[in-house]
Amino acid sequence: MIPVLAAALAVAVSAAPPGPIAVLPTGNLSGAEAPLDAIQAALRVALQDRGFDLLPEEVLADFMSRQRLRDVSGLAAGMGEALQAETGATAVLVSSVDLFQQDQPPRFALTARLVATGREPRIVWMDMAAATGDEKPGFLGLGRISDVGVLEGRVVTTLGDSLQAALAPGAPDASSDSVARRFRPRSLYRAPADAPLRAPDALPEPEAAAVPETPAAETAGETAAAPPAPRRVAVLPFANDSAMKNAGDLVTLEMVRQVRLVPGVEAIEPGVVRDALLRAHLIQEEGLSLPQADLVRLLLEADLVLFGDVSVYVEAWAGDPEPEVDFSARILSTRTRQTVCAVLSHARGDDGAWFFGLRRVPTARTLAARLAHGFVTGCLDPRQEARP
Amino acid sequence: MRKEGAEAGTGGRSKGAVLLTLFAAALVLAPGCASHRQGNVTFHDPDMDFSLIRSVAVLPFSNLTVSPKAEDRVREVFMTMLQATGATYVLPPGEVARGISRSALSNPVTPTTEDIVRLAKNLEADVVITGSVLEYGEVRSATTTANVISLNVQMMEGQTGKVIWSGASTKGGIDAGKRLFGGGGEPMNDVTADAVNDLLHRLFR
Repeated sequence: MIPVLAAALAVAVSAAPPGPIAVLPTGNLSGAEAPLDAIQAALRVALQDRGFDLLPEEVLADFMSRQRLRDVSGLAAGMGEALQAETGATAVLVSSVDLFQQDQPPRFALTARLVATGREPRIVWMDMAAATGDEKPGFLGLGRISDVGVLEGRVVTTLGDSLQAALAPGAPDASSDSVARRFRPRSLYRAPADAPLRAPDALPEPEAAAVPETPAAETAGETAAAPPAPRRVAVLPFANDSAMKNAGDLVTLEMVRQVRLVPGVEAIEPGVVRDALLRAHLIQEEGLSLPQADLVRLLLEADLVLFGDVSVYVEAWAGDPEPEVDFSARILSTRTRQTVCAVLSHARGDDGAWFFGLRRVPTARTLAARLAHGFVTGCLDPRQEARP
Repeated sequence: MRKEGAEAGTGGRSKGAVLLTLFAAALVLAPGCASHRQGNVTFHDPDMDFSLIRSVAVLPFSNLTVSPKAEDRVREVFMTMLQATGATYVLPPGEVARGISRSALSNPVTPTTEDIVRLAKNLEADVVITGSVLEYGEVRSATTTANVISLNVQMMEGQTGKVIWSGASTKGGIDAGKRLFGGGGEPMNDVTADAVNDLLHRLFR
């Protein structure tokens, strides 16, 4: 047993980024008090158990103090370069608690991503895991979990395994699976590959016209010799009109995760996006205007900009009704300056559920993930047909 | 005696037949009245060729309800569903906001004709749409509750600022069936989508 474990760890270590990983303090988007230090410590232990080399906490704390790094929700371009130069860290683990509930039943959700440092931070891996105490009650409720600590352990283990699997040599590329009908957008517009509806002055410039824009255009252009460069997608912070604190940030984060899963598409690290928006003093007023889209293209070299608005985000706290999520989202092409996709998505936890709660989605965090998956797949994935 | 009895029986039957005929006529006419009322709330400019409309700017809706943000929600649903038809290009809301700012519209929810022309020119939009949310939320009758929405929408030509289409729709609410048998009615999202669908159906009819 021990040689097998050692061999597995050796494989993981060889595939990990060459150099230590800095584990940033865990952020809290749950809207409730959560033991962040304990969760960060659990993450460190999970990575160390899997053979990853971690940057000592003191070294990271010194760097953060020196650079006055306070935002732990992402990695800005300059900060990634400085981190690599000063500490030798080749990657940063960014994590956030998305849901934390101690009441019965306990609920816990965690999102984490590994970002390669350097001149341009790049997302290497990203995943989310959620667990609730009443997921599998089993016979006479013997399977119920009443301690949120147990859920934390399970979620951290899941994420650790996911990271290890993603970095293992020969690991398949991340791919998105099919979308259940109940999580598809209620209303979806997807731009046709040809015949833009706007006036001719909004057409792309000739030199940029060779870059495939819409998924349909991509599938049509199979005769190209070299594979097209991945389309860069900047996910802007979603506006939050719901009563839930941080709902916009949660949906934004999930959109980034889902965009990463689409082949031929690269999601720009949210820290880089945030830094660019702050430097340009770009504030969205009811969404993105075209000059702002031009600015995003200039600063981030983004081909597509994804933005939206969360109108309902109801987490199923103890005694509350079913979780419910509702958002609208748009994807704007910075090249053609046109909306290439627009959706309305809405679902409740018990939509399409069977008897005894089978197929029920227990948390709004998971529901948001399913809806975001439906949106991103319907809009960006060339393998999926648009289903209005 | 037998004859009188027979006549009395015939009179009773004829009275019943008259009542039955009146009831049947009421049944036939009632839906007719409803459709007539619905038909009156849609206006199409007969001189306008709607197939020429390629880009649409949807202005912020006015909110005449007590529900905060109802106008934003309904406008978002309307914009996305209009765009999902694929018939026209709907300008992004941020671009519309920029156009409002550049055109110095003092009151974008009730623009004047000059405002419409100026805004359409700024945004290069063929038509401009305004709207009002009249009812949005839950209504109650005795122990029964249901969601209801009522909105009206106008479409103005960008070059002249004149109204070329106008429609109103009300969906949801409590009907006789819900009063008799109870039930909570449709969720607000579905009611909103129904009303917008109804308007779009009339627009493209």
